Amino acid sequence: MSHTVLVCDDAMFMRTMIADILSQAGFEVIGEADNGEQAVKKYRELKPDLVTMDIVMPAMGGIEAVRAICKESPGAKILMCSAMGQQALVVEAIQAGAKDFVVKPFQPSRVLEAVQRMLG
Amino acid sequence: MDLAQYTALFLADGRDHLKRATGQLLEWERDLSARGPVDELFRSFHSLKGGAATMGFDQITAVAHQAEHLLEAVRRRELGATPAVVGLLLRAVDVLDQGLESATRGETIPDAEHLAAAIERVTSTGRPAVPDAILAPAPERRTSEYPAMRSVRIDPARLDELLQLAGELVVTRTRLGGVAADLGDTDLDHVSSRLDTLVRSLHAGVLRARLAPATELFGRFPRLVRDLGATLGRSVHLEFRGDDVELDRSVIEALVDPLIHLIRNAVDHGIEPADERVAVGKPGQGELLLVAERRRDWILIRLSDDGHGIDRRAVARRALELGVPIPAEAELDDEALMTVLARPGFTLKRAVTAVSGRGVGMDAVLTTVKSLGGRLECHSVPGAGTVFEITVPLTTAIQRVLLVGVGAERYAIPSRLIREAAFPGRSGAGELSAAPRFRFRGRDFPLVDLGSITGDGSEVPRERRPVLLLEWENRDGAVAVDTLLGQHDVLIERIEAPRDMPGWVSGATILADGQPAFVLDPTALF
Repeated sequence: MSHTVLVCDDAMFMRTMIADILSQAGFEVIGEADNGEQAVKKYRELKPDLVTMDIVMPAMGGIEAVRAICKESPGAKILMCSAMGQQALVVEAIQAGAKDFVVKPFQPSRVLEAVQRMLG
Repeated sequence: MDLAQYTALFLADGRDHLKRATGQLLEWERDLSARGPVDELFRSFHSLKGGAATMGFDQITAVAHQAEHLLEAVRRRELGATPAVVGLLLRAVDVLDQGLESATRGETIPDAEHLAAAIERVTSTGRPAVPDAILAPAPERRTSEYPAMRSVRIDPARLDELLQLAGELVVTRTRLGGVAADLGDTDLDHVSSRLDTLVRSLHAGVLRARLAPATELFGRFPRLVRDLGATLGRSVHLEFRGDDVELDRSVIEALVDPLIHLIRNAVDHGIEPADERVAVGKPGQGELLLVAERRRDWILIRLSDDGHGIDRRAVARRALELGVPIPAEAELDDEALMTVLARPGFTLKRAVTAVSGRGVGMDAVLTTVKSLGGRLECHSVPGAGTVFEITVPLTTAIQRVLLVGVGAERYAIPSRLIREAAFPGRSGAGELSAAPRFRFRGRDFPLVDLGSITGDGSEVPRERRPVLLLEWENRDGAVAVDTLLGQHDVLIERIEAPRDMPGWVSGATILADGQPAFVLDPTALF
C-alpha cells in the first residue's frame, strides 16, 4: 500500500506542485491544508504517514502546527518546506518536532529524497 | 519537471497575494502604528517569493525578497513606518502586478532591479527616504483590487450560455404546455405547470448568478484616490455606501472607466487644496462618497465630492470660446451643464495635466452610460460640491423594449432609443412627405418604413402607420411600423448572426407566449 501524505501550504500553486511530485512518485495525497489550524485538524482526521509543512501561513503558522501535531502524535513525520531566508525558523521547526526540511525553490528529487529518508 | 503547467496557478495565486497586499498597505497607511497589516504583508510577499523562486522567476523573487526584508526591519523597529515606506511597497506591488505576466511570458521586468535595489537601500540605511521617481505611480497601471471576496470566479460567457439554455427551456416548456392542453390530460397539465414554475425559478437563479456586490466595483478605487491625492497634493477620504448592492457583472466591468474619470475629475477639479478648504471653514481633508442604491430594476451609482462645485460661469465662457451652443440664460441649469460638459472635446483646462484636462472623458462617460441604457446626471452647488449620478438598468441582459407589429411579424425595439411615438393620421401630429422624410414639431427626420426593409410588407395604409422617433448619440431618425404592441421587459440574447443576417438585427428574444422575436438595432437602418 502506498504511503499517505498531507500537504500544507497557503499557496494553492505550491500545494498542487508538491502533490504532483509526490503522487507521480507513487504516494497518495489524501489531504491539503492552507493554514496551520487546518493542518492540525486534518492530521487528526486523516492520520497521514507524512506531512509537508510550509512555515509562513495565515491563522496558525507551520511551526505552531508542528508543535500541536507532535504534542498529540509524537511519532508524526513532518517535512518542512520553507522559502529561503527562514533558516532560523527551520531550526525552530526541527526543535518543535519536524524531521527534515527542504528549501524552496526545491528540486523534485530533493523532496522525494527527504521523504523516502523519513519513511525508510 | 515541466513547470509550464503551473504557470496559470502561479499567476492566480500571485495576483491574489498582490490584491491582498494592496488592501493591507492601504490599511497600514491609515494607521502606521498598526502591526496587523505588517504581519499580513510579510506573509503575502513571502508566499509570492516562494512561488516565484520555484518557478524560476528571479526578478519577481528579488523584489518580493527585498520587500519581505524591509517589512522584517519594520517589525524589528529598525526602520520606521512612514508614508514613504508604504509608498515604496505600493510601487513594489505595481511592478510585481505588471511583472507577473511578463515573467510567465519569459520577458524581463523593466523596473525590477532598480526597485529591488531601492528597497534594499532603504532597509540597510534605515532611512525611509525614497526618490520621487521611484514613488511615482506607474503610468496606466491596472488598478489593483481590494479585499479577497468569498466567491468563485466564472467566465461571464459561461453564465450567458446557462442563461441561454434556461431561455430555451422556457420555450420548450411553453410548447409542452400547448401539447398538454391539446391532449386534455390533467396529469400532464399538472406536471407541465410545475415544470413551468421550476423553469422560471431556474431562469431567475441564473440571472442572479450574473450579479456581484458593488464592492467589486468600488474596491478598485481606494488606491486610485490615494495615488491621485498624493500626486495632486490633496488629502482625500473615499467612503462607500451600499457596497453590498448587487450589480450585473457586465455593468460592473463597463462602469470602471467612467468612474475612474469622474473620480479623477472630482479630486483634480472639485476638491480644493487643504489651505483653501480650511479658509472657507471646511475640514482640510476632502470627502468623496460613492453610493450604490437599488431602485426597482435600476441601479443608481452616485459620486459626490465636497469641493467647490463646478464654476458655471467659467463653463459658459469656455463653451462660448469653443463655439459650443449654450442656453441663453447666463446661469446654466444642471441639465444644460451636463450637456455642455459631455460635449466631445470640451475641457475647462487650458493646460493638460497628467491627471486630467485632455477633454476626452466626460463624453466617453456619457457614451458608456448610454450604451448600457442608462442616464448620467449632474448636480453642482457652488462652494458645496458636485454630485454625479449614473442610473443604469440592473442588468443589460434584460431590457425594456417596445414590441411593434409589421405585417405578420413582431419586432422588439429597445425603449431607450425611442424618444416619442407619432400618429400621422391625427391632426397636427407630423406629416409624411413624398421623400422618405418625416416632419415633426418643426424638425425633419429621415424616415424608414420597417415593413419594406424587413420584407414583411404592411397591412396598414401608409398615412395611418405610427411613426417612432428615435434618438441615439447625436443622431435621430423615424421608423414607420404597423402597430404598437406595448412595452415589455425581455431577456435579450445576442445571436451569432449568419453571414447574410442584416445589420439591423441585434439579438433575439423569447416573448411571453413562447414565440421568438428579433430585437432591432434601428440605428443600423439609417
